[in-house]
Amino acid sequence: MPDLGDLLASAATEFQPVRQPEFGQLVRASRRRRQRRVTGSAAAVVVLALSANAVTWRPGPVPQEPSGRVPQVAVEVTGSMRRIGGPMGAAPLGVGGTVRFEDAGGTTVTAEVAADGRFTVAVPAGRYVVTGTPAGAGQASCRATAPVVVADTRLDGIEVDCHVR
Amino acid sequence: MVGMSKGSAAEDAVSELYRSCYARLVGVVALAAQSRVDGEECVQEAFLKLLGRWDHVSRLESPEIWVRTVAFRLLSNRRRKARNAVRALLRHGPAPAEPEPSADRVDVAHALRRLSLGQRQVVVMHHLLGLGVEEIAGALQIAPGTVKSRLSRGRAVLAELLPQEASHA
Repeated sequence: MPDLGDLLASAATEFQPVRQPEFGQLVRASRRRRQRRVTGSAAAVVVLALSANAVTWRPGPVPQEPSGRVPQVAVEVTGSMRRIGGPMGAAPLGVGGTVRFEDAGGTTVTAEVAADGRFTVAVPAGRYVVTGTPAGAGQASCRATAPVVVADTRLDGIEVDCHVR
Repeated sequence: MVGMSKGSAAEDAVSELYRSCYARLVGVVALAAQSRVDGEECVQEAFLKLLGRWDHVSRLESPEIWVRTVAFRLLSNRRRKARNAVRALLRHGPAPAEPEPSADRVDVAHALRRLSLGQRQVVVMHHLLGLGVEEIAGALQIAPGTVKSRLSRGRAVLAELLPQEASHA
């Protein structure tokens, strides 16, 4: 077996580079790599932070309506108050007086009824019990046959009947 | 600025050491690595580490040995990482065929390729650098018994190959 040390020394010499970079170049390249890593890490942190935010972000609290009763837009409602009954064969007859719209909360809106029985009233949307008082009468004896539901559009044809015996 | 002048002095000293022994160190480490590229990268990295530890290393008997030791350790680490990566890759395909050493000329490098990296390291450190078993064990951070077994196996393989190749020369 040839002398291993000599063979290894010869082989190691063959592995030696012909040129070598300046040490300053190595140092500068190393600093640039480190800087890139720092920048990359910072960018990664920002991306992660944004991602985390994107995952956990929730819309802020929904703006609350101001407390208290919110004024609602009044809807125009028209109809007629009629006297029904009386002598055999008598046709319904419009009567003047007042009509009263009352919702479930007890809020009421009152309007005048013309002598021909027609009335126009503006009320917020809602469900109302409608009653009427003929002019000269002491108490309400007229009412709509069913609760009136007012939506957000004009409502016509409400009939408030006053039954006469 | 005291700090700057101190850092600059360290860089000058390391730079001088680098100029004087870089090629020699690359030759030794590359022989163990069987790759000049790996040898150069490990030695360069070792010199960069030296820059940050010059205060300590400058007081040692031989900073060149410190660099060489660090370069050998870096070589072990990078081969370990590469080996793990290759193993993961090979789980999905056949192992690459190892080329046989050329019989046309005496080439100790080819013979060394039949050894594992660990065996090459101890063979180079012992037969080229003249280090003892304990020194090699300390440098590579392995047990002396491991050094002995690697040396023994390495020499056995080389003894089979080198006379045959020498006869072709």
